[in-house]
Amino acid sequence: MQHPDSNLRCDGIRRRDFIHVGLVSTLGLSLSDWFRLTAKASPESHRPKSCILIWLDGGPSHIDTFDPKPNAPKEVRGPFSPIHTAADGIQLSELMPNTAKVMKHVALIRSLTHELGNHDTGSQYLLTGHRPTPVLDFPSLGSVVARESQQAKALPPYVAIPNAVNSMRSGYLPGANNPFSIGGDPSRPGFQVRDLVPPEWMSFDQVQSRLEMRRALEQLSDLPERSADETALDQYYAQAHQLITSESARAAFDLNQESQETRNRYGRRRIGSGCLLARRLVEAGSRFVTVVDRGWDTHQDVHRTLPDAQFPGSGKVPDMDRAFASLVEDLNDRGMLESTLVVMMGEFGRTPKLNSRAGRDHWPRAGFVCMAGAGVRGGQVIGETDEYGEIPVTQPVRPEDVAYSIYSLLGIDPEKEYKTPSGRPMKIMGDGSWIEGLT
Amino acid sequence: MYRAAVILIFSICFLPGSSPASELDFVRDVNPVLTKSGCNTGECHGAATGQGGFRLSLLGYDSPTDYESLTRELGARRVDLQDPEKSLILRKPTQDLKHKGGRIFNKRSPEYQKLLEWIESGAPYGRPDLEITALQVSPKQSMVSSSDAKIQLKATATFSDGNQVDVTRWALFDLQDDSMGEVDESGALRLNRPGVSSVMVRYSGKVAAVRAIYPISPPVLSKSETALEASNPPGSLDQALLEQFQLLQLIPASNCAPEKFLRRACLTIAGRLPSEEETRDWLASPDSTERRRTKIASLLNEPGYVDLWTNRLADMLRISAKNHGEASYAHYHRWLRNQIAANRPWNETVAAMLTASGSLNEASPTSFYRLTRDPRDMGEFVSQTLMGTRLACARCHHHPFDQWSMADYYSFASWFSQTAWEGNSIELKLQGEVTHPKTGKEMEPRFPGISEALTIHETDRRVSLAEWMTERAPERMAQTMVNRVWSWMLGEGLVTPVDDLRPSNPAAHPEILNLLTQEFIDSGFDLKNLIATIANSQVFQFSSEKSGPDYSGQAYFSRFTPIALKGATLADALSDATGSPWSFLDDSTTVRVTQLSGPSEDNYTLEVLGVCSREVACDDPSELGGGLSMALRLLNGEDLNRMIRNGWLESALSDELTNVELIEMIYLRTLSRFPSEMESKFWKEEAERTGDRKLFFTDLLWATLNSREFLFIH
Repeated sequence: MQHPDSNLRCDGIRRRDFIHVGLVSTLGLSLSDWFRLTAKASPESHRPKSCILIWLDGGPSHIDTFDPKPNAPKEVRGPFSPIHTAADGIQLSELMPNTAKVMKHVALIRSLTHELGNHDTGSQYLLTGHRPTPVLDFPSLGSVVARESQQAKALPPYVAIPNAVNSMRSGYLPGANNPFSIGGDPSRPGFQVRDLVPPEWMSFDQVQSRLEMRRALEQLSDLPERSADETALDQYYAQAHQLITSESARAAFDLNQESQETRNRYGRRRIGSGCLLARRLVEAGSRFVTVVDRGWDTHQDVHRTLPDAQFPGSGKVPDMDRAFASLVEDLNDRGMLESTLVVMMGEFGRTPKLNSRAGRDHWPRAGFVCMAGAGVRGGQVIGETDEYGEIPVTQPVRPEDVAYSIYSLLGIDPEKEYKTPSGRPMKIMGDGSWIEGLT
Repeated sequence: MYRAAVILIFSICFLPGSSPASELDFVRDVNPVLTKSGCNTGECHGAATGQGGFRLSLLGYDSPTDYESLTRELGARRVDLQDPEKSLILRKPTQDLKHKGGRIFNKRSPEYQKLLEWIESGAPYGRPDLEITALQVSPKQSMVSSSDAKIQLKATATFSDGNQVDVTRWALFDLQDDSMGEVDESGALRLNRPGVSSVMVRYSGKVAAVRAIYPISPPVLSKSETALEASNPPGSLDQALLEQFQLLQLIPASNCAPEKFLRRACLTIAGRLPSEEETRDWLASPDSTERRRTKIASLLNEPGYVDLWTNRLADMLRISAKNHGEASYAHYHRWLRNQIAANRPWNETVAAMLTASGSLNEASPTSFYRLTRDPRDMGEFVSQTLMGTRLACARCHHHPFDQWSMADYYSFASWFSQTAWEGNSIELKLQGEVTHPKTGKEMEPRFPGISEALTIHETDRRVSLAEWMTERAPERMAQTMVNRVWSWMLGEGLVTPVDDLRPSNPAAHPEILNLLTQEFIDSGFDLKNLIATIANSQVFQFSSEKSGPDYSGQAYFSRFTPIALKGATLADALSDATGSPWSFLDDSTTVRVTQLSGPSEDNYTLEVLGVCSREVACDDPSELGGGLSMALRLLNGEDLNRMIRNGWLESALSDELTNVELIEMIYLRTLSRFPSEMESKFWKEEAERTGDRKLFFTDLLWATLNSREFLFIH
């Protein structure tokens, strides 16, 4: 089966179009201009909106990154100074010079607030938009997007890089809306998505015929009606089939098709390679890609764990800064920022006051969320915390509101009603409201 | 500490529903008003850090401290004895003064009047030792048959002075499935659509729950259609089930076909697929209840039974090198296996683990205590895993959905405070206590829910714990095990999650759980007997076909819900069906995945099949393995393809067998049944069309192993 997109190169340029690139560049247009021009002309500009979520697992310190408090006492202010950014009046921590340059695309919410200060419940709250209850498991953001996308594209609608965390599951939605974890570190040289390619001795025809036989077995048998789990099983095999047989799907996972320059720009470690891969997947049709970056639970020595204090890559922030800024910039250059929402957040902020080990502990009352693209008005700050970064003083934003707004930006009605397996009607977001001023 | 109580009144008799007495008790009369008004929820003043500088205990479980906050903090402005109506606790909730939480009640409300009355009478604490001891709600079960019907629930609290008081007006009512209807603040229940739910009732730290049922439209119940029509002995599981289904107006499914029974029983009891010969024999002679009973008994005596059930319990106990030590975990596993092989009474097995000490390096349960050094963690593990009681919430605050207090939590942890892991052994110390972080008090070991002082063994307090848990009050432990066994056999527990038994999370059929628990205790905690009871019941032998309307897909065990084959059982079933062992099992004595002492590290195939890593409890199989990753692994990964290549098919292909015979063998060895005429004909034609015989049958075997019929127990 030939996929309609299979004559696309990895970089989204059709083979016979390639010569034009050469032409435009001699005409003095930059590659990014060319991308933007072609994007406007092609049906790609009507593409449904996608989302890349950069999940800073463990709870990133807001004061040391996006909400510096230079006037607070030293034990609050911490070891880093603020810097100006390309957006008037917005200051960030000095650890983030690259992000500072793209702030005109970014809406920075500084007033995220909730009460759940442990990792599991906090993650569930942010990743589902629902306060966890023992009665019902809520679907994660990506699961709802996958459910709403109903696409027949080869790529799984919901992908996690490298692996999903527990709260990224489908909850009460069918298992087919779980994320597909690529299962490996894309920054590794020989990286390949596990099991994507059939073994050498097996042809695509054989893959095809095995899966057809599987379907025939089903049709010949007189099994009772499928349960929800059984329906999901069939969907997984259908997805596997599409993934394996689609050349464009396999190409989308191949980072070697990117130039060295691009790879360096995003950064060659986990989060950078993850963000670059996320961009490629969204380009090829995935609707929600989560890049999981672990290690933000900085209970001690923020002066060592956040900056590159020992060697490049030893600290959390510089890699994140490079990856996030490059992703936003690259999407913009390619004309994809309008159709792609980039969200960066973690489960909570961290204590304003440094603890006795020079670290910061869990602090759900204040934290940040960055959003860019999909119509978000950049260059603005939404909500402020008090002088010590303890609590929002203007426009507090709750996890419900974050989820509500993400769905709205992606063109999904947050008030749409689902049914849980027990028949209970349940709105995607019963609580929560649109974050004023976001667009 | 509070010293406000001046007069102790020893005997005031309250008749239920009688008017309030002249003396008010904070515990009985005042704090519940704050709880009912929502003042002390987690979002408001019940938050760990309070709200607006005013902090109450979560849902009012800690009256002395709440009394202190109200009357002593903030220069006594919250409660103003000079000018009662100026009290902040009256002016804020009426929004006479700015209140972030908005208006909670008005001046004419009973809430306002009650609080005012209390302050006017001097804001007494009342009797310092007054406690609520029990909460009862009636009716225990509400049957509603139309959306107009209203049922009045009544909550009665028993206090430590022996009095019973109607507290309906001040209790909190929550309909668990709030889309089904509502309970108003006076306790009147209305349901607007068919369904089964429960109402959780809370009053002063106590929790109770009652069932609310709005049955689906009465089916046309033709008795002859049900598998339960035969006269069941009274008190039997089948009779009790029939009564439950009648109550819920569910038509039970018919009895499953003999081949389905055989596959189901072999996989769930002995962890293996039926062999080809076994299936042929089984289907060659007539089916009967008696024959099925004999089969169940023989499966319980197979070595596979010991492997499978040891594996399940080892998952539950999280036995692994990581948790229990490279050198000692296998000893622990071997000991557990011996208990299962000997069918040792479950209460004795538990007692042996609880009281274990000595060397870690012999077949003994000593490693039970290697899981953690922290008595608090040990307490959480023991209560949750073995007693289905999640105490963990009460580490920091009163359990919001259950009755457990922090005192319950820390006094349970105290059982484990004198057990220490030193070098290669578990040692007993004669000192070490757990302190309550709020009061700083050293906690005496206590059994949750039992207030009486216990006699504690002088040198090994765990002996007393074991005595309580397994002999004197074994119901909880027995109930938890019954529920787990039920879920291992039927795919889902009567209570879900299986380790979260509490009044506010009632069983799908409370009567069935009680009946089986009693039978388990009466049988001397006989696991094999429990498994046989369930396996011989219709509940295990129903077909998966729908026989009538249900509750939006919820059938309450009136039919057999297909169970996804997962984890070690799936791994072994793949090995059975291909006739080839897993390549990583190179040890000649270990040929099956269920026989492994611990999880196989870094085996991605086993991980996607859902084999438990034992890092956390793997109680919810839906969270394990499966999905797109499993489909890709089975298709493109090495393991299954190699097993197909190395297994029985290879030699069968070189024997002189016809295509039809090969097709039949594949069906019998994977799906445990003969192919239908149509199936046989279809594949025969396909085989001839394909030409490459080996390729065709390899692919057909692969396809059956990946089919819904293989990957689910029907």
